[in-house]
Amino acid sequence: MEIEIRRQLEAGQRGEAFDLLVEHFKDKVFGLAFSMLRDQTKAEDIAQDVFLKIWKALPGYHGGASLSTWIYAITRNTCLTEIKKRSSRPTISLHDPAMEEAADSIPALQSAGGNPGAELDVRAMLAELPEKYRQVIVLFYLEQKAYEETAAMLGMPMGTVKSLLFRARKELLRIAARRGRAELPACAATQG
Amino acid sequence: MDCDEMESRIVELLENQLPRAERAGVEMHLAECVRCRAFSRQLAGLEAALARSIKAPKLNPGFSARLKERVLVSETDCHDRKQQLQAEFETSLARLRKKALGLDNAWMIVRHAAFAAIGGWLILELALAPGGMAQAWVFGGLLAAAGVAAAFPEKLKRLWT
Repeated sequence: MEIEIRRQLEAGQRGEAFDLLVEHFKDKVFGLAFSMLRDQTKAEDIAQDVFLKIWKALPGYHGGASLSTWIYAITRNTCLTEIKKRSSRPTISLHDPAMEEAADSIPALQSAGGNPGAELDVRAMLAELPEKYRQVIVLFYLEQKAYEETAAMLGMPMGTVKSLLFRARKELLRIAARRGRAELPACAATQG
Repeated sequence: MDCDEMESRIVELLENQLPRAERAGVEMHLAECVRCRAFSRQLAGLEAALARSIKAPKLNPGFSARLKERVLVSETDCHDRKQQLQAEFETSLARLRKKALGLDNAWMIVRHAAFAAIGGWLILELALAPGGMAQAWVFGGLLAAAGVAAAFPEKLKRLWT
């Protein structure tokens, strides 16, 4: 896909290259933004801004870095700017009923089988995780547990991602124990 | 290998990423160690809960259409901004030209006034000298011709060619 996009850029077909690029990367950019911002609407707005930046910068892209590395770097920087902007604004408590309702409306944190109790625990546990662990674990599961893709999106070596994931899981187990669930629902494969 | 070191191996085992050669050793440790068995069970539960809970949010179906609109608006804005900058540049240039022209005109008036004053004084001197009236007329005529040539050089050039 990247080769095709590059070929079109070289041929001066900026519009066609951009269309291909959007189709190929929109979910990834959105997922990365969502993992960093925790807000679906904001993540979508940021994804729009990212692609607009890419559109403007595309004539100057000469393939120095891989296209995906370039796109993910733009996404991370745009999200970080947004996070900085947010931190300078007055904060809203996550325990605010309106915020709870908004969080419950996020599909990424809803249960597929309509079992709100267990899912709510995971959401609350994730909210307790330090940001660097929370982001990597959310992105890892959004990316269907693909280490390589997660590492590329975060701009980190794979070893760092593995190490962060390991620490995040241990932290989640500690949080679960503290919250009174010494044992999380066991996987059927490991029962007995 | 102690239990702390074993934990990362257990993660790899659950993710089917543990090299086959190490698998038997970890499984043997799990069979013997209650602590690691509990860790493995809890980890498997956590993995299942996370995989069930963290679902990729769906992008709005109108995402691409909205983006296209924004790109179009940005391009139009860019075009409008270009035109606006061009218009601003031309206005500034015209203002500068006008200013320069004003200075040129002032300098021309000073030059002509000095030319007329010196010429007038010379004609007066000649006219007042004994028998110098004819010379004053001739000199006055030449001076007038030179003045006209200096004031309208373009017309003179056109007449000449």
